[in-house]
Amino acid sequence: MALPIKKEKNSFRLSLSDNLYSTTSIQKSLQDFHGLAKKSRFKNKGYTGIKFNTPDLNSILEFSNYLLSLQRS
Amino acid sequence: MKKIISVHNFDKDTKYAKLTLNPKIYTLQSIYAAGYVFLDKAYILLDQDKNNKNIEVYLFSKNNQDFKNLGLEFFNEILNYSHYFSRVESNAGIIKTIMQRVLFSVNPKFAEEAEEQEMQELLKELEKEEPVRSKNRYGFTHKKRKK
Repeated sequence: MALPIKKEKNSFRLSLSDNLYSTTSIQKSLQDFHGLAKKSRFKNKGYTGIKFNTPDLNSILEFSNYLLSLQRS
Repeated sequence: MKKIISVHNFDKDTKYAKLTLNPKIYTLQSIYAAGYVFLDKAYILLDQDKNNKNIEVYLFSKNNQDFKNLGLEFFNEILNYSHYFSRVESNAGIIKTIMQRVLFSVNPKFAEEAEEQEMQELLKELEKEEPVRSKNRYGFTHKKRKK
């Protein structure tokens, strides 16, 4: 499958597999990145869509690292 | 042999490495553990392929490190953690016995409490197994006949 990050005009969309990232970790990350990221509708079953209102890729990557750190703990 | 490390362009300034992992060989637990170690070296994203067969790990370097080396180091780290978790699993029984002995030697009361708890649990099990008995008019108990 292609990279789960899609670039849009002034934003990014990230798709997270429900098998790999737990709902609690995603919710906690969204709380901590409030204002920057929010849940969005996603067509694919088994995936959670996140929309980032920033054109900065590093913010999305920081989010994914933070999410991974929560998965580990 | 299929490519398990490949380097791609996200945009003109950004590249990333894509690693393909078989979850039958590398457990999710090991992947999380290796990813955690790599948080300071790279940005990491996980995904599954179309058939949900393989796990795909995307690495964006933080330090302009060579992507292939980054990928190979990541594989080494996963192997390290896979080995660690498999040893923990195989030694779990022995570790438990040693810890119990250490605790009991420090305070013998723990041993008595553990024994008492075991006795209580055995008694509960026996009570469950005992058949239901009813008393007849002479005061004798007998097993209820199944109709």
